[in-house]
Amino acid sequence: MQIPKDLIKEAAKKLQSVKNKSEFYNLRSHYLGKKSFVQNAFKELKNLDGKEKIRIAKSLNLLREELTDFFESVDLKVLAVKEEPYIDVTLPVNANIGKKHPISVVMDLILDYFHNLNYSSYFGNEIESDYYNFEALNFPQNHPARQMHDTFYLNKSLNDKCLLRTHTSNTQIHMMLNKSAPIYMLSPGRVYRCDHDMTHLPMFTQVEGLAVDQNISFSDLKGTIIGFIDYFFNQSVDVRFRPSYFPFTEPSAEVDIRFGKKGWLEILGCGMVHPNVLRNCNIDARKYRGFAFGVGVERLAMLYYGVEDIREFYASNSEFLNQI
Amino acid sequence: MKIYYPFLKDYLNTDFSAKNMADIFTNLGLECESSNKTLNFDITPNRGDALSLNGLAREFSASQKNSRFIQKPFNKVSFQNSKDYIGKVNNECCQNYHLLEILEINKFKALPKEIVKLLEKADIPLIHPMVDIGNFVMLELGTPLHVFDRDKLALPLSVNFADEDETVTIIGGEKKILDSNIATIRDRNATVAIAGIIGCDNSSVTSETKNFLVESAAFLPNVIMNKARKLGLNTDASLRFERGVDSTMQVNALVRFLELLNEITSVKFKNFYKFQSKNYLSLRKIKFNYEDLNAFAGKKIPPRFVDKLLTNLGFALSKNKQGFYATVPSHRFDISIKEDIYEEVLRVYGFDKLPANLPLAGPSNLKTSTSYVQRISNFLIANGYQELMHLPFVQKTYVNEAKSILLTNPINNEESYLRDSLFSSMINSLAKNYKKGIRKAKFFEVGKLFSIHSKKYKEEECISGIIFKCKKTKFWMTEPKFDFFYMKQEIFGMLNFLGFDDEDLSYERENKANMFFGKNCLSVRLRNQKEPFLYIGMINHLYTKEISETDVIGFEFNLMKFKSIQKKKKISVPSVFPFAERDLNLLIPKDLPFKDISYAIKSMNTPYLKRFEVIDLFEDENLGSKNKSITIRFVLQSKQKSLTDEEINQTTALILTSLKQKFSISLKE
Repeated sequence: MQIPKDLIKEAAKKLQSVKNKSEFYNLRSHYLGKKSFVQNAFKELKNLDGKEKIRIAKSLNLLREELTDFFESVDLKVLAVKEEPYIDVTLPVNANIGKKHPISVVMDLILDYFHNLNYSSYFGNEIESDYYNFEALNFPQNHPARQMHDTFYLNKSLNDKCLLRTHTSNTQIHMMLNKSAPIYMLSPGRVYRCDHDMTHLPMFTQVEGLAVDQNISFSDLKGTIIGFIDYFFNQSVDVRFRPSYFPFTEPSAEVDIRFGKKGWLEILGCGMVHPNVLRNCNIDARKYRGFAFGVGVERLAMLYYGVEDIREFYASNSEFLNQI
Repeated sequence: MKIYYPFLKDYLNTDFSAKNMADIFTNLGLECESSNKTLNFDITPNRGDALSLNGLAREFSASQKNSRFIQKPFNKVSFQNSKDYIGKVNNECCQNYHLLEILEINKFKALPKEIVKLLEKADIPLIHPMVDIGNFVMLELGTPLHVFDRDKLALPLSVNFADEDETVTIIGGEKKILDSNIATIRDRNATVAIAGIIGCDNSSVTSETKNFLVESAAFLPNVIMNKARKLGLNTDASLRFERGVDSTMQVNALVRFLELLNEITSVKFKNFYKFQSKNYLSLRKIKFNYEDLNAFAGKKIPPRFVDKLLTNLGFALSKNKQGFYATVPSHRFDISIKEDIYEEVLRVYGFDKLPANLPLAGPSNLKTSTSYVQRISNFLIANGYQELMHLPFVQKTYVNEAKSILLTNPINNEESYLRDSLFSSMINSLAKNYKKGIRKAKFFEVGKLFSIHSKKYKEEECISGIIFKCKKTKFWMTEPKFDFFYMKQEIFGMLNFLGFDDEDLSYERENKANMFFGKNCLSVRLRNQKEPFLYIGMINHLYTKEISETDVIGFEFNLMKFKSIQKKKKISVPSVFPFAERDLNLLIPKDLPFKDISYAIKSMNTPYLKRFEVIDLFEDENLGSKNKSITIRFVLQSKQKSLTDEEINQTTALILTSLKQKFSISLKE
């Protein structure tokens, strides 16, 4: 019986054209399966003489071992790669992604600008006492200025007269009482006023800013606000500072903006901190001056996204919110 | 306040169009819009002085170059002090009190057309020629007048605070209950007017009235503030008095009244009476320094501009080296400190003419504490959650009434409570979206929860989320079900993302979380804390009836109870030796929580045990109704050597024996 010499080489050559696992298994069974040369040769050993039988059997065993090793050494993973099926890569998928609320997006934009100027943010309490919401901010009892803030009061079962804050300035009072000047801070958060129509909601979001330092001037306030408006709208906008009145600032101004030839839109209120407010917070009003401003986030969001009815933001219509 | 434009134009002697005029006033801080030949002023509460034609003229001329406001002189008349007419006047109510008595008037000619037009456009109804002239004088000079029917009064009149719970009938017939902070005018018998707000029915003029008494007084702002509002009576008079009325104008107003009255009737008998408190004309003085103004403004403002402007606005200046002392005019109730004067200068000079300078903020003394809100929001958004926001007002049925906060004055009586969970609004929104055809959603919200604890108001920041997906939702790819374990996997992933793993957390089945969770709810707490900060569970079907075709799963993450812990983690080099896996297929009681098994295995401190995981769960009738089968895979590895089969088998045998001792567990064949 003749044993072919280059069986392994031949197998190696054939292996190169193998494309997938099934072809690989066919090839392996061709060399090691029941009908393979090796298996047939083993069956024919019985027809051989003693010495010849032993010699051939040895050779066959060796060959079978070599073939087995050879096939075992083949990395099937490589073959699996070769096996890559055709897929339609254009089939749609569901991008499993949520969206920030537009108010959050606009809030983040505002905070980013001021954080980059080294302002710190404090969120503060929404339930507040009359003192921190009004008195400390230079709203005397019964003053008509209080009528500018239609206030929600809490049930009187508890001792203190408490309310839902009408602005986030309360946080500024808490911080000024806790820290010493200089102070550069933001107080973002939700505020409440009894009011409900297309442009007013009983709850809205404010970001108020406060800077208290030596040598602060009205020009610093202007520069800060104009810088913010440029950053926020990222296009050329006319800005107007119009005299107004808030009890906690003196002088006070409303800031209006105008795109092209359209009318003026009021976007925020600001002013120089009233010395009474600094005094109420134990800050030396002869040494320090301050400026403060307050932005209505919903109002900015309405301009930013071109939304006309403020109530849309709180209607939780996922088709509306998903457009962000 | 509405002013007829052609009238104002003549009054100011100017050619400006209505729109230009509105802009000028707006830029001065007196917000104004023009429409239909009417200027509509929205005057801020500090500027009572601008609530008159005179006041507007003063402001207007101050803003115009080469213009100066000059008050037209009034006729001189003499007033008598008579106790028969003016009795006791409480100084705390009023600074001066004047009366003009006019007798035997039989006929009136028609009022001048322009006066009628002005009143009509100002939304002041025409009532009676005497009252109408009074209203016109109020519009012109800013001080309200009141006209009594002289014959209905039992003189003298006195001014004092009302009796507590006193009931009066006001003009028009409505009854009002007063309190002792409200000032009234009384004759000898009864209250005849609520001071500075409205007259009473018992003394009002009618077409029959022949004899009149016209009141002109300076009621103090503190006495009027908020009273009209409390009584539900915001009148033109109260609007002016609570902001402050010039106490030098009352005499002039009566003079002007008589002048106008003479145009429409012949006045034969008239008398003037007065009460004036001693110091009703004392004025404030404020020290002013030019340099300080310049530092405040960030620009040098010409002293000449300052001097001329303030003089024009009625201030009297007595100069010194650095500046001056300014005497505040009697019509300005809003000026008491130097910053108030800076405001006068800058608003007229123009905020827009000041430079803009961006200051270097800080270094600030403040440090923002790290907030988890941003990180959690970002994680949730990346996992498909849509952020929602809702108002915190909810119905009674959605709060734990014993602990919840009620509003005294809600917008709507249905929703008069402050929420103590974010779920009610989120579930409502889910239902709304479901109605619109949304069949799969993940929502979250960040907001405050409000409650009362040990007699104190408490607010806690919270993040909650809900998910739902209808079973019929189909997509060509296989997608996971939104069930309890899906959410648990996400939320535990989030905790891991925040730096918290199994070692830091402890959790158990919970049935007291809040009303929105059904019976399948898990609470999670930090190991070093007593109270849970997180609940994950199925939302009680009571609240999700509209979406009955599937379960809604929710979580509530209380940030106040989530105290951040500083951990220093050591990182070790992983073992280089091979690992071995052994699976144990156990038969366990159905109600044995895996948490107990897991805790038992961990507390054994078994050598070589690297980790273990549940790879299969199975329930079947053949196992009996009280049992289930669980397959746990144990991964074993040594840091020093390759483990032998014997070592591996010994370890798993040890675990099994130990579990058998603790629980009624058996190995499933």
